[in-house]
Amino acid sequence: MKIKNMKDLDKVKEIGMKSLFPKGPQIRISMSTCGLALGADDLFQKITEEKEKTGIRISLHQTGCSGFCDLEPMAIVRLPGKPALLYTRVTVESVEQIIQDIQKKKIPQKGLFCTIGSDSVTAMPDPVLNEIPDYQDVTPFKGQHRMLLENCGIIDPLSVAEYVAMAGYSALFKALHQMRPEEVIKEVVESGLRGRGGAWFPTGFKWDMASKSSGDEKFVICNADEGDPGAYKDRTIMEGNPLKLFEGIVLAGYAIGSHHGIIYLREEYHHTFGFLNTAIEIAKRFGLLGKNILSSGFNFSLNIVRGGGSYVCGEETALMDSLEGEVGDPRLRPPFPIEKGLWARPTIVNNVETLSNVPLIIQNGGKWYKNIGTEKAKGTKILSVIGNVKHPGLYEVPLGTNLKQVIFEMAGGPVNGKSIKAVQVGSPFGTFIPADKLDVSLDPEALREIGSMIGSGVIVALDQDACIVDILHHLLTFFVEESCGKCVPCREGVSRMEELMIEIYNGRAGMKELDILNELGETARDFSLCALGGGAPAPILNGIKDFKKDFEAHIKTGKCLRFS
Amino acid sequence: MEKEKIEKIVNKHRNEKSAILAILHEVQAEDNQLNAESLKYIALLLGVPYANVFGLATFYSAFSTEKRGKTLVRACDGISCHINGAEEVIEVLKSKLNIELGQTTWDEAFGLEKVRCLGLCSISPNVSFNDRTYSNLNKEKILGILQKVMGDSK
Repeated sequence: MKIKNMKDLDKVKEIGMKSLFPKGPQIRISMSTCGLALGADDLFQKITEEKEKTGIRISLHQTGCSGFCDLEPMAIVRLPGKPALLYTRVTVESVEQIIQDIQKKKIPQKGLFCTIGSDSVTAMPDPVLNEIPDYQDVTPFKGQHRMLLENCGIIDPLSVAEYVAMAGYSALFKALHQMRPEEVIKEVVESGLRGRGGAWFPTGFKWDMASKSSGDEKFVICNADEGDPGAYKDRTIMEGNPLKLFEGIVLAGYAIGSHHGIIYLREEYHHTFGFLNTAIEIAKRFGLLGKNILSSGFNFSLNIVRGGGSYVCGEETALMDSLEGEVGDPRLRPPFPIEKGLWARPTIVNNVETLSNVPLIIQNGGKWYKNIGTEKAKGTKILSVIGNVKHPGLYEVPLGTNLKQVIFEMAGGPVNGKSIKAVQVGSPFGTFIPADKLDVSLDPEALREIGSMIGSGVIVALDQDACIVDILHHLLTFFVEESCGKCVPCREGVSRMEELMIEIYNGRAGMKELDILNELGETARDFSLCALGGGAPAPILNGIKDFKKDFEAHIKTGKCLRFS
Repeated sequence: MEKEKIEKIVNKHRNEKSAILAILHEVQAEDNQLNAESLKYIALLLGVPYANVFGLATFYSAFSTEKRGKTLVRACDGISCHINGAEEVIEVLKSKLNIELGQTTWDEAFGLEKVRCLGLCSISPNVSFNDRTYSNLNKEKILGILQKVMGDSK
């Protein structure tokens, strides 16, 4: 059915509420790429078989990933009159017991992690439940401010009804029926939203300029070429709540006067590609994409283009080259994409996370959004905390949250009683912050002051056994592989840096080579065409300065501290 | 690959802008390669120079101008996988399949590649076999998986 008016929206909402809070028992299995990698499909099948065997009536749904893949496969079990219960690392072997318990109206015990929203009215107080913490009070969810990830892992990502029940599409309905495009832009400007892909450019300002550019056609490109190794926040949004992203893309189109959107998806996300295509078809069926969206007269089509596995295509001008069927080479700017972008038409390129913020801003107002974050950096940021911490995963926190708190309190600190040596914020281009300087606010301004950056939010924690030379060696091979080869400082400079680093790594270089490495780094940093060559030297220059001991170990003894 | 099959794929995307990447992906998915013959025919059908199409097929790491293995093994070497022991896993893959990174086994059953992040960073190291990904790997686990997969492919 197509949603045409408020009445339709309410009707769909009601269906969604019934589906989210059913009268009978329900099981939800997290079936994103990570869940599937850890056996969620076997789990789903086993539950289906048990249902058939026992004849029990249980509604079975799928959900996306909550950001903590190491807890997968996750399941949510809902028994009548009780809050939803979250189970982690559920095994096929435990299914029979779960079904038996549900049949007896008992709470399954194995793998029970927390309740989800225990404040909801429980008809029968259960002594067992009193012992179980709510997810807001339990690591790794404690202390998060989940707005973008709110629905991820909870709702069925392909259910329009469930998304609408969680206030989805109220922003688009409001914008298309009650707001002029310039009013949408005004709210986004007011919110202070800035680009989450790493450049932190003011989104509202970009949209305003694009709306004023003239062209027979305009484009909205959603940059889903999530290439920073260690990042998977965009995948989590796309697989956990794709409709929120679509809503944001259509809002962007309406704001700048564009009728065509493209999601440029990174090649490595095989499962996501098919999944998003299904989501687009569903959105079309409900009149949320395509012609006459929500019966407002506004048309907007959306399609997905898969990249070819090139990191530099995450850079917006290279991305547009790639979409035009060329090899991905960054272009010189100006002209900027907002004037002459894709096929020389005005184009905005926004990251998945950025666009997913927009429905929240339109729904609650720019003023509301402005209250979250720091003076200059508004909203939340999804951090991908990985490496040597107890609970690696995605942490959505207000900008300005303390790094130390994220590493030690939220992510549980280092493993096996070891100590943290350094943390690379904004990997791969960010610098390594030594353990004694982690008391820093996570926002672009504060990090810039200490010579670092937040980038797309990848935070790599390294413990005492890590060697900075080893990590830099790893990063440099990555940069060299992904350099497009267009400009000399990056193509030649970064390659020579890698050669030197290999010599240093193997103990075949002297301290003199460190100086050459430094000099090469400064040249590539200052003269490269795009952020790849310009950004690559930062961690190396900083590593030489702050972690000289690691270099000396390699140079003098040829030994890597990592293996000592 | 048969000309008719290529025509079918090209025609499917004929009216789309930015169709060429999709066409290359689909032809490769069918034929496990993008050989010169296919690329020339795609160029002819689209009316673009062969050099352009060849450029794309060689610039993007997802494409291969040589025949790839029926099962493509992609070992992740992102930062998280690196920290958690990807090297060891990759060494096992190389020695058991008896090929280097970027090569295909003699019977064309397996191809081995390194990728920079499969996006499963909190359950690393990861390796994917076509569309199936295995996570939280170590030496023993990957040996077990290989044994099973290689047994199945026989």
